Amino acid sequence: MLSIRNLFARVEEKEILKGFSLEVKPGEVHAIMGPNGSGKSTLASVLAGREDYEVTAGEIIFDGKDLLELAPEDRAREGIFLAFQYPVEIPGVSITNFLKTAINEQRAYRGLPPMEPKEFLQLMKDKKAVVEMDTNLTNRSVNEGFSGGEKKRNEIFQMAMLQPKLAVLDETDSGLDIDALRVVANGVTRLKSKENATIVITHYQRLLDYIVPDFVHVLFDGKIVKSGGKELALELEEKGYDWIKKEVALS
Amino acid sequence: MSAIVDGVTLKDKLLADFELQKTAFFPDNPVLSGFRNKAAEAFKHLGFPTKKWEEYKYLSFEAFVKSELNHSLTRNSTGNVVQNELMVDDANNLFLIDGFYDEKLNQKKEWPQGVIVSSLADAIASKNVHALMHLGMHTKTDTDSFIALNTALFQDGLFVYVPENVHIEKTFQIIQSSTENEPKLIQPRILIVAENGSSVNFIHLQVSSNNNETTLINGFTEIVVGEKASVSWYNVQEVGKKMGIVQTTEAYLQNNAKFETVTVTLAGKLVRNNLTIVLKGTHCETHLDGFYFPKSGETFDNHTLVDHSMPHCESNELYKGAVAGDGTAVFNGKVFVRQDAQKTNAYQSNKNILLSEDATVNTKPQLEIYADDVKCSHGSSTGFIDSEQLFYLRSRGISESIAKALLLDAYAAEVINKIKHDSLRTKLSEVISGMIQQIK
Ligand SMILES: Nc1ncnc2c1ncn2[C@@H]1O[C@H](COP(=O)(O)OP(=O)(O)OP(=O)(O)O)[C@@H](O)[C@H]1O
Ligand SMILES: [Mg+2]
Repeated sequence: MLSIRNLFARVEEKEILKGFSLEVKPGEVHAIMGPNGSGKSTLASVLAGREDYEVTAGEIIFDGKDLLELAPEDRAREGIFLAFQYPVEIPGVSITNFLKTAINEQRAYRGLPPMEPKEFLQLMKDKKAVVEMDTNLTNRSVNEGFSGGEKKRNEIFQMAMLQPKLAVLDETDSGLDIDALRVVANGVTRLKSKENATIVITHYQRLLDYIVPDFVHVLFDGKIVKSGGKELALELEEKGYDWIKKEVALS
Repeated sequence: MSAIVDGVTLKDKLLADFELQKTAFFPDNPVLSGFRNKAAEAFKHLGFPTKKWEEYKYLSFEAFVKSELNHSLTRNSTGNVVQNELMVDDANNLFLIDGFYDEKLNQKKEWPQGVIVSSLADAIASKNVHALMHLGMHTKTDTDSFIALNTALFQDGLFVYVPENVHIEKTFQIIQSSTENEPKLIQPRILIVAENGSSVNFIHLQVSSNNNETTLINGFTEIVVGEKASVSWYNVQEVGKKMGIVQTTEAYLQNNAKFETVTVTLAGKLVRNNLTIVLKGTHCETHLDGFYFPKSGETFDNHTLVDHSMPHCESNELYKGAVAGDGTAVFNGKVFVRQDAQKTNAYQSNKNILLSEDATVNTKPQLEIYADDVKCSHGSSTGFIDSEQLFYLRSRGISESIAKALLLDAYAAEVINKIKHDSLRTKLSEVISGMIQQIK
């Protein structure tokens, strides 16, 4: 489904990703962990197509298409979804209008007519239930005045509405209280299927108790330096990153 | 009504017009002719502004001053109904065609007891005491070219008088339109007097039914808001590509008065608004908001002045603009808080979005505070569309152009939503949305 090969990317002359490679197949959950500043959000941004990031080498193939050739909106229409680490506030644009526009734009791309208003409202209702989102929240402007946790929940709500093939969750767990974490994680789990895949970027093992990963990767200084199963996350939780840094230094 | 002869400037021509008609226009009213003479003298001295004038430094009136403008002197009722996309159909319409009150278009209505809605010329001719008591009595006619020119030469306009404690529910929609065919100088004069405890709402629509001449409108509106009276004034401007507007609007507020105004400028070659709100009493409240959207070839300039001279008053100002193509926007907002104006709350904000590299914004907020116990703030910002917001929307599958339109609609809505007249608000949102979608 997704194949990232030897990716180099930089922002403002600073090299951040330095030979990053990753293969993701349908139905898989990959966790990416790694110290602050190692390049996790950069990877997410490059996948979503943020223009500030310049890819200097490597390739990203998504469902047979060269992702780097596509505009951000076309990547989304192809089925990529990024849950932002820091979702932006968009005063004056209601969540309903925003999602209606997004869904219909995605449908048009796939040659489908706009969704019937009734169907859209039903979908909103169903998906709000999945993430236990307060009705009042969706009547408001996108993220405006939302608490940190509400913003994160809104990201997962959007994911549920858009039903992507590949979701990249960038620290969706940070800032969530224990109940919200469970709700959000259950939401993600319920949306999982054999056809779609998830990349979970996190610092904490806790989230991975709910969203059980098939693979755990450690990103350090712009590339994956260690991969393993879900037990690797436990090991990192216990020992931190120092031992990995030492391993990298030795090799 | 002759065209300018070579070597004769528009100023000379206008002053000659003044000499010709001064004996004809209300000769038996010494007060009026007195201040008209004074205004003509002032205009003679001042002339049209040039870019060297601090207050007009971003504007060029050359195209108008050089063109063969005819001073619109005669009442020229057309009886033709003006149509404009922004006209609402749930208001009482008052048409001013080329600055003249149009009897034929303005159906006679039954107004509440004592309410006067009439041609300003008729009000003066019939020596209406309320009109003569206020007309030109609160303003300065000798410091600004356009006030002086309007005062010296206006022929007609509108007079609305609302007696004490009368509340007029239905909005008045003043449709100021100009006819086609020849370049003109149009000088409508409007006087609104809302007596103590009354309330009245206006839409003031400046449109131009296809007029594509280098016509210049020099409008002057005076609004007297009595004690505990409440007036709203929504000024919407959408005129032809070659047309210019200089619109001076002055509101004078007595104790506990409330005045709300929103100015929306959407089309025209050059639009200059001089809005002055004088808080003459205590406990007054005023809201002045604006949205301007100049596109290629257009210059929109808003000068506002809020004059706090008495204590316990509040003013709130939000002006926002979007500038496309090689358009130019100017904002100059003065807020004076004079020594006696303790306990003043005065807020001003100006925001601009540049939609192209060629767009220009000149903004100058000026807060001058001479009282010590006040709450005041001001700020201005100019920038491009927020790239983080744009990326967020695009990352959900929304195309760049639609994402921009969503953001700009929301941006404009912050001002448009201040309009309390539902159908006007809806129409404006639609028209602005349409304009946004046409921007490349
Ligand atoms: N727009 C930018 N301009 C300059 N430097 C940037 C920019 N974006 C990222 N960086 C730098 O790139 C490095 C990697 O940042 P990134 O956000 O990808 O880290 P991260 O792994 O997500 O960290 P965290 O765990 O703190 O979220 C950091 O040193 C960061 O300061
Ligand atoms: Mg990060």
